[in-house]
Amino acid sequence: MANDRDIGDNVPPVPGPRPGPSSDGGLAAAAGPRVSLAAGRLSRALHSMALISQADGAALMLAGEASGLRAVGGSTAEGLKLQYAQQFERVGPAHDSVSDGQPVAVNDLESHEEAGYARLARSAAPVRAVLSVPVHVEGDVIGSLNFYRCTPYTWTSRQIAVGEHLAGTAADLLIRLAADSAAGGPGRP
Amino acid sequence: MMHIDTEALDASLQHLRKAPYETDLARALHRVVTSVNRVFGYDGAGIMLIDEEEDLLYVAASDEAGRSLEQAQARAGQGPCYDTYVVGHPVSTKDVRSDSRWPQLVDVLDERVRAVAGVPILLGGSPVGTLNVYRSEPYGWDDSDIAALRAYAGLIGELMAAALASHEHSVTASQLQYALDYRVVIERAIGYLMAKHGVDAVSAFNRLRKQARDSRRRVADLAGEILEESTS
Repeated sequence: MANDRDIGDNVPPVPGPRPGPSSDGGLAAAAGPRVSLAAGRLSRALHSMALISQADGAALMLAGEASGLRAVGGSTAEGLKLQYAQQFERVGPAHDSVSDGQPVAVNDLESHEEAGYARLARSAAPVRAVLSVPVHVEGDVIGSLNFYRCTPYTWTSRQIAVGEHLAGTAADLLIRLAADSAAGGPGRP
Repeated sequence: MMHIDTEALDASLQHLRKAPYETDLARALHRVVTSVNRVFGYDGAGIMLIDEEEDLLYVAASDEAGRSLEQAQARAGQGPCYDTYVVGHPVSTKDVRSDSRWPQLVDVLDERVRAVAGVPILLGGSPVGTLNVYRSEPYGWDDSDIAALRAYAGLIGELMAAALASHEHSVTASQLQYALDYRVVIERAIGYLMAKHGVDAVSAFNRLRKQARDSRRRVADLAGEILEESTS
């Protein structure tokens, strides 16, 4: 798994999920039941989005209160690692897509010339190509949906269009997950 | 295995729900249908949900020709979307107009609808409706078409489940709730009728619907009675 890879002595390890309720995988059950249900729905949705977009995976970053974009999840471990790398390096296509309000396609993180990308490439390895699409809700940018591949790749205009459509569906899903997490009762499995 | 940071997700959802964003399931489903249609270059797409008469009704459709699938299948009492819903698996046809499985469809279906593919939308493991697409020329659907449609149907299922869990109030949400509440009892009644009469699932489903219509009862109520009688 990507989290187990050696990413080099000169690169500080990117923080991953902390042990306890914040962690993924089998520890998700330690969170509240509604958050666990929301996590399950989001996870399955990201898997579907990866398949539809013909990428190796799909991952999500969402805006928090004041801390900027936070890594929320990926369809694979590599996807979550990519998001943590972007969160802690404070650079990457997810940030650019949110600030620009439009899709950002990076064919190879390693050869991208923008400042900070070389470091990001090492932190996010083995991910190489990333397509980041802003997630809009009623005009607000609430986060970034990322599609990724583990080899250099030229994203097509069709894939960018697919990504934009999927970001719209992600927005529709997220506002319902937010409403669900506020609703009373045990939730529907 | 999930790769979700639940603490970050929880914090983000709390942040998100501070803004009073509008939720309208029908509108969200219409956006998905538009996406499916544009992304894959089909001639039309739609989402159907089962109603109290066990008719499949559109809750979102990209165009009028595709919408004719609903009325045509309801009038003919057969069609690829019904088969998709009843058997719970993808059903496709290269040309619905020459497909011997649904001979009565030809006379009532819009001529622009030729190749049709449908995949079930599952909630809690059971079909509650279908995602269907069509082309205006005969077309051989391949595995990649069906895989992508299944993935979209999975996405739609998550959206629907989240809408129900958030207690969204709308006609579409109510229709969905009905489909979910009664699907299991109807599935069991279909299984009983298949065994009793030695027919396939689609024939058993049609038998159940006809009997309900003839006796002016809801299909779900009749299914419950049939199951009660079978155990008494």
